[in-house]
Amino acid sequence: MSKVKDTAISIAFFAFTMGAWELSTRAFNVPSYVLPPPSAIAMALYRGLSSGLYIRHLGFTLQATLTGFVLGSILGIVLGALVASYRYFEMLVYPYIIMFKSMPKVALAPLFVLWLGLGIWSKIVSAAILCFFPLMINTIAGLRSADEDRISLMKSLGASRFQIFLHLRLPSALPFIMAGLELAVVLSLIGTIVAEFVGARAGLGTLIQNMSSNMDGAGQFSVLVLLSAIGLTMNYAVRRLKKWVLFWDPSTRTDESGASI
Amino acid sequence: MAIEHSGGPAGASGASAISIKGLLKRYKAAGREDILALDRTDIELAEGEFVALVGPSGCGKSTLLKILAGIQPPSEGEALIKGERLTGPRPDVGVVLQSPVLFPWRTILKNVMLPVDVLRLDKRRYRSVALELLKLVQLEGFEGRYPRELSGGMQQRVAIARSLINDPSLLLMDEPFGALDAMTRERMNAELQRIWMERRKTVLLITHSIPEAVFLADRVLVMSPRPGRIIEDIRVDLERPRPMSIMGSADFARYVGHLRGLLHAEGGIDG
Repeated sequence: MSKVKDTAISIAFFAFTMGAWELSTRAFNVPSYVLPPPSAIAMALYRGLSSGLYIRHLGFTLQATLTGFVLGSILGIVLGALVASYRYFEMLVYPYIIMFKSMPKVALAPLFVLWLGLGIWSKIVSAAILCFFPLMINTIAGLRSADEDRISLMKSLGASRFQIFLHLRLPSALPFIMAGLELAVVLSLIGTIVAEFVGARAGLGTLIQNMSSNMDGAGQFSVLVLLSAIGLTMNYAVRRLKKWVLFWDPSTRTDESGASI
Repeated sequence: MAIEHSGGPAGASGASAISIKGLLKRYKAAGREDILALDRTDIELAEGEFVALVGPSGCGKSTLLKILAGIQPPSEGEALIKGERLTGPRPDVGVVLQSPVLFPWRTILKNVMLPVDVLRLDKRRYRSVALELLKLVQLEGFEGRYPRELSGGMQQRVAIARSLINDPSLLLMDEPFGALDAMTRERMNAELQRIWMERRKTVLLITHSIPEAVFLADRVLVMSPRPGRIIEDIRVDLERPRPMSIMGSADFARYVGHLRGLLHAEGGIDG
């Protein structure tokens, strides 16, 4: 019952905010390129979607984002597994990881565009680099989180290193890996958009820049709405995946709220 | 009835399931003196014997178990299992630890089957063995559940079933009921006796609880505080199956009293 009430209050509050926004932009004659009224944004969104313009750019951005997400995540997991499993490899690679970890990776985007051109690969690499780090760090931490008693038990059964990895370390790492994926899915979109800002032939980032130079405020806002929708959808997909993979992890089932931002 | 010092393992055959000779374990401690966890210990266990090992906290009981499980090498001396020198983990040695150590992502059945996966045994054949064992530990119908759905006592019974899956001849138990409440613990003691009488494994049970040791064991070994040595070896001559009510008998009380006296003289025990 109170759930219905809460929803009703949420909707009412949303309507109130939109109404206040609409009225104040009109009342104070705010120029549309500074802050367009919500009605103009909705119209721009409708026009952009129905003309197919947004869909084309969306397709490009989505392709780069998802490819970058998948490649960066896989690379992060594999490298994390290698670092966690082989001391020698860790010694070799870890200094570089520490160095790159604290660097703002989006600053690399111009380099990627310079190296890989205006096409999709500079966007994919930019997205992948951002995804790579949280996954690698979390995979290392996850693989090392395996319970000592469980390791002892596996050893007492005469399990090989690989068997301990497969039956114990990898499942133990899954909550960490899933948390990494949740971060990475948002980062991959950031990576793509930033690289598109630097230079691209298509994509929602390019669209925003074009609109910005045309002082099309409503258009920019409508693309932002679209971008949040993509972000929310991808985040939702990862959380569904997490719930499915981590059905056995009690901590997964309690953090239903507030994780979407 | 006088308390009898056992002259060693019982059993007609006289074959040793475990034979420990001069076992010593030293831990290297950074910047400090080495810690001597176990001091030249000799123990013999006959085939099919149930032996309990009691001693104060930190006396090296768990170290001994880890050595026998093949997880840690001894610093000196040797351990023989069925006459063979122990060099690593053996498939015919089952281990039950203080916590159930189940894998939360595996169903109860798959938890019991873990040794089958690790030892690469025939899954189909052992599936029926696993179901039978779940029946033995009175968890029939729970095979599809997950560990979090079971109580602590039930989880520990799963661990016992798991330790029995590949039919090991020797069972090492480290405080298996230490984390359970007193009522559950007594019930588990009765269950363990029943399982042992049905399966006749050689059992080495490490415990803090003197009544538990007397109730379950053929022989009780008493260990001194660190560095651990065996200071007493007592045969428990109580008829089996021992009913729970035996804990109220005068004989039982005499064993418990004797052991308690020993342990307190040696520097205390909790419980």
